[in-house]
Amino acid sequence: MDDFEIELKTEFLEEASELLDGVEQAFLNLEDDPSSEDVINQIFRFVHNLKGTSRAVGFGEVAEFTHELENLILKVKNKEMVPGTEVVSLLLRCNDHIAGMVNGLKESLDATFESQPLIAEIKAMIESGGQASADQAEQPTSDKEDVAQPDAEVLVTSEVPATDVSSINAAESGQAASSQPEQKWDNDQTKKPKAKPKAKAKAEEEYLRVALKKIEELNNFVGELILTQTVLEQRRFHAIRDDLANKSISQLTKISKEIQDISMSMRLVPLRSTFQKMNRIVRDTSGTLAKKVNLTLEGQDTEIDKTILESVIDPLVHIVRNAVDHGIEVPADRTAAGKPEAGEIVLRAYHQGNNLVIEVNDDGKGMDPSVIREKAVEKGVLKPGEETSDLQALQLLFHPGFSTKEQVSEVSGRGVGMDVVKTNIVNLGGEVLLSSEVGKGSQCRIQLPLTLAIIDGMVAKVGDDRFIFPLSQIREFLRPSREMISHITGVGMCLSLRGHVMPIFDLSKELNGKKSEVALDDSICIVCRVHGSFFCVQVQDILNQQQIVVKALSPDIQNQKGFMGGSILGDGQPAFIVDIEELYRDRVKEIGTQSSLKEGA
Amino acid sequence: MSQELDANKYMEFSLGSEKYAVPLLRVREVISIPAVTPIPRAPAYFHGIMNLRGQIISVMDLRKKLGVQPGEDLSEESVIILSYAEFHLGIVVDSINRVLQAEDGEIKQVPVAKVATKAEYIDGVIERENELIIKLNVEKALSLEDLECIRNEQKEQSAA
Repeated sequence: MDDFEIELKTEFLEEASELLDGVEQAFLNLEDDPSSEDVINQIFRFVHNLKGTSRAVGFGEVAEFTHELENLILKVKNKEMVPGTEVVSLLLRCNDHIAGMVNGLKESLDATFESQPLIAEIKAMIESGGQASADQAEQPTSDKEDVAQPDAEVLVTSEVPATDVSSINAAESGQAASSQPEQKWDNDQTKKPKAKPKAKAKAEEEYLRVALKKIEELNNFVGELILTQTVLEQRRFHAIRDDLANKSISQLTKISKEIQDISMSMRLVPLRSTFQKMNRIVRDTSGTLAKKVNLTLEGQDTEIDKTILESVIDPLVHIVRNAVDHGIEVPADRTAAGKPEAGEIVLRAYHQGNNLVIEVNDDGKGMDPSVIREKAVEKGVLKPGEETSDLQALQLLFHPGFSTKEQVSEVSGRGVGMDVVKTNIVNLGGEVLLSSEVGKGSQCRIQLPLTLAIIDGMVAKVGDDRFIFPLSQIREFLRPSREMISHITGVGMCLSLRGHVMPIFDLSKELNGKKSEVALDDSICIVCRVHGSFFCVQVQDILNQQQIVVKALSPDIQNQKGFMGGSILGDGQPAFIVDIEELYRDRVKEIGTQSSLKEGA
Repeated sequence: MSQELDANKYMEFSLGSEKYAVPLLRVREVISIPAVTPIPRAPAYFHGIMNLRGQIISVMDLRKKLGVQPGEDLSEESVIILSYAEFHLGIVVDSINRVLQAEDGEIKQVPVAKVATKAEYIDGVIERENELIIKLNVEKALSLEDLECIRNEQKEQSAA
């Protein structure tokens, strides 16, 4: 295989992933509205495209499979077959199989696949003319069996993960530029005379695929540009006496800020494609459990940093599955409870300040805090008699001690527990909160930072070095007067602030290995809070407050506890960003239990 | 094409009175001693972090790690920036000597009398003008071989 052929094939696979992403929604829509010509046309075009290009670049197997699939869709298109649930199920499995093939080929261009069983099914379906299947489709049980047969889907012989996973992967890899898959289809539609006039207006925006790495590089250099420009700006009236030069520098400042805004926004992608994946998750999960669920998506155009988005997909899938599995009741129970047969799940995304909020709401049976408390005591997560508010009790579900093992069902047991969900989200600098009303439903609220790349930070001097502290962790800071400081044996120096007594930690001892040389009443105390208890850290001086471009530390020092990254200060020197909470979490916990013991005694 | 030619080239440098060599393909650039920010609570051989055109990289002092006394003349002290798949790393050396070419056959195994554990990170010795140049395995010397990204890189290399 020469380079040109490899390039051609790789390009085809990228494109195919993108198309797959865009067409999944159409397959699902087909089920809701089998008579929609638009949807069938869209699917037909997809398969037809894929058939043509795969043959052209030499993927015979893909071409053969899509050819058979095309025959089937043609039947539906020509109204010779009614797309009942069974047909849609088969189509979805075909879609999975194509995704599996595309992924397999991405790993090895020579991968081979076992498509025959599925082709046989397609042929059988065509022969039966959809007649039989249309009859069967009326019985919900046959649909259930279909979906619940995962082995039938794993036909791929090369090392490709189970189709369910691979379809997500395929979607992910194509995501960089596929965040607007629908637009792409609309583009196609405009070429056809039949296209709806609405599509034309939408198609005017054009998109360009760019490697994420390039954007990251650009962002790095823009960061440098801003630093250099800051130095110039600071020196403007001291060193440079030329008017034109000074004006140009001021102009440069404006332009650099614009460039920074644009380059940062390039990392943001809409949630749309991720949200739409949930359609499939809900469909498959509810099918397996014989539940009826309507999924409503709101705020699909809300944008979020690409890196954050990728890490939030798995937790979101888990939460949505849980909502279907544990939240929504079976139709009989719902009717008995006086609710409509079909459950409602609403997935909602919106911006709130510097955060993105994703809510998963369901109108299911809700979670009973008293049941959770009982279980928590049983599992040793909660001490008997320990007081918790209802809201706090719900959060116990995130505790790693709430073993997922006992809750494993075919659907939710994917090895990811709620504790992993929480860890993933906290690692992204986000928060997750469960709330519920028994009998009425539950809500899972995920709050994420818009971008990991920039934070508000405070630069402070500790010993001879400068460190950056994220503003989000700082409650307040003050220069304590002598009366506020006292020494408590066993705890050390303490600060009394408006009725709170909190320990003072010497940051210099922690970071520089030597005790601070400056007296406490001559330094500054930064007040922080972990696990609900306050503490403060002593720094020598606060230098300034600024936007900090967070940079990753190289892997050899990444595991150093207490740092969330590094950044480069205005004078070009690197500095560490201190994660105060992580640094002192363990110590504050000790003190926390001590004080609660004292209260108990 | 040029990669194949360069594969047998090494950058020779001095640490105290000893001479060492690293594969030239690993070397991204050589810079003079930069201003560094110390790394809190890190072992002494971590010299600090530096700003390399917007990227934060760590600089290690090989002499401290290997227990080599720095030479008397440090006027040519430099930092070699080594490049790995996912990151860069700087090492402080007494001086840069030259680029030398050595075929695989010329690289001899370490003498049998393994005295110190130090021998682990010596990949071999190259003899030139009656001097021995030690081919250094930097990853082992700096105990980086446990890092996941380095392991992956090595796996890829052995697979290729």
